[in-house]
Amino acid sequence: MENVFGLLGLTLVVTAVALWRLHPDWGGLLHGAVHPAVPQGEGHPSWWYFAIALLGAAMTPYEVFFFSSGAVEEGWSRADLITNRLNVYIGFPLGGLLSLTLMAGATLFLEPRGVEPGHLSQVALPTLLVLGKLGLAVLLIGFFAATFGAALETGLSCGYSIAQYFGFQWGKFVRPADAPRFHLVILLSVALGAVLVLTTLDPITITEYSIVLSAAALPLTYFPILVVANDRDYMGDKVNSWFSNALGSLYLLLLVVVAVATIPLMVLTKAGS
Amino acid sequence: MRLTELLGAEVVDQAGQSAGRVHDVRLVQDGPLMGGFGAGLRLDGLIVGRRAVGARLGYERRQMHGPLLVKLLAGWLHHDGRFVPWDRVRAIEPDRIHISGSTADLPRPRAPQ
Amino acid sequence: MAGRTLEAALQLLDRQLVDADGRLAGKVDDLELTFPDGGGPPLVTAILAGPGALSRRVGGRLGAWLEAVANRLREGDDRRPARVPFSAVTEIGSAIRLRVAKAELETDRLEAWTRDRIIGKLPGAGHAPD
Repeated sequence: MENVFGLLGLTLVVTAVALWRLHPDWGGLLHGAVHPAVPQGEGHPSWWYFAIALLGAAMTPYEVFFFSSGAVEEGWSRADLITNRLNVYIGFPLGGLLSLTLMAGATLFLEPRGVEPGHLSQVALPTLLVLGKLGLAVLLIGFFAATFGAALETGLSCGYSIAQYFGFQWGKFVRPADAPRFHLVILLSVALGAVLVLTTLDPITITEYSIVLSAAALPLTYFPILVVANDRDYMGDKVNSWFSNALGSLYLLLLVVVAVATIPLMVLTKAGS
Repeated sequence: MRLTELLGAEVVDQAGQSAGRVHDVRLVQDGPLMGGFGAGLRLDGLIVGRRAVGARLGYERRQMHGPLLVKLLAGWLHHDGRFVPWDRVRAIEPDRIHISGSTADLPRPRAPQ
Repeated sequence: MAGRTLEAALQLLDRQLVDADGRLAGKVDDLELTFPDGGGPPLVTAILAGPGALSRRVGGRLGAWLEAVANRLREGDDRRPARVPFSAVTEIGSAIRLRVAKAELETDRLEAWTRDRIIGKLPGAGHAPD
């Protein structure tokens, strides 16, 4: 079922189409991206705070549990390593690219008009005005697929991580009656999420806090994986090469710096305001 | 007796000197036959260390491939580990284990298979 | 595999228990050590699992609460944690494999309770997806 939502989410490519139709100054966009500069009126700490938020949004710990548990559910073997690599090398950059087009479209369109997006509907404005109702319809399918898919993934991930920590049966491949606590955790997580949405708390604030805090927690998930990837008892002959280890160690250092800086920055910038 | 009654207990020699806390327990599979499992697991000795946190990642084993920085860090954290053979244990109290002889002549732990 | 060396906290504690059918049956929370009659070092005689066993490791108020939960689920007056005799173990690897089915183990109490009281009552509980 997650595959359906994944494929439908590809409709978000319409944002790239809309951006292209806006005829932006591509050179200017590229220049801005490669030469990061703190805009007028923003302090350096705020800028770093948002940078960390973006990193946290791209690399969330729940993905680890979701993907690895999914691999067990589907009975992946060595032959599926290629699928997994494709998933990482193509899927994640594509997701990043679509995020960029969404951001670029919103900036080019909304910023000159002084609109600060406080709701998902405002982010749809560029697409609506450039591609009309058809573009909007496609985009709405994409939004729905992305948000519903995310709810499924994070709900499942809650079930996976808690069941795996305590050691009880998990998995969609068994009957719910055979994995009662796993399903109970998922139901409660989704219910809790729904309750949060129904309160008057600003969803953007909740999202910001959760991605920043997950950026702070990243090293705790990353480090054990790095260690296990080097253990021949688990990985056999597929342990990390020295190159992967070098990259992995560097990245771990980066994540530790990010994690340590997050909470102070959050306090300092009053969560980016 | 439970394993967790041994883990974390302070190891003290006859002179009252502390050798640190029990971080782990070594078992050898050469006891009497135990149903379908084969030879039972016999407690061979205690692995003690001075640090309060004894969490070990298994870097003493040869199967661990790296990364280099983590290997070095793990090695440094456990360089003061010592092994207490079971026959030197004299008394077990809550959170304290008394051993014979002196803490100075405890051997280093051998790398496990 | 006579003579194999193991380090209990590293290779046995907190490992997943997998039953004869491949079902997951909890984690190793503690080990029961028994002194043999003829003297000598203790032997590992059983795996202890479940909230009753975990309570000792957690300690304090939370541990006491866990122990109360375990005792509520236990029939009779037995005030000890769920016990899996070591003779039921077939393999010690990245998980601990057992030769018995999960339902025969004492560790299944909380899972059975949740199944009977909550999830089992929902429609579709008995149906596994393809």
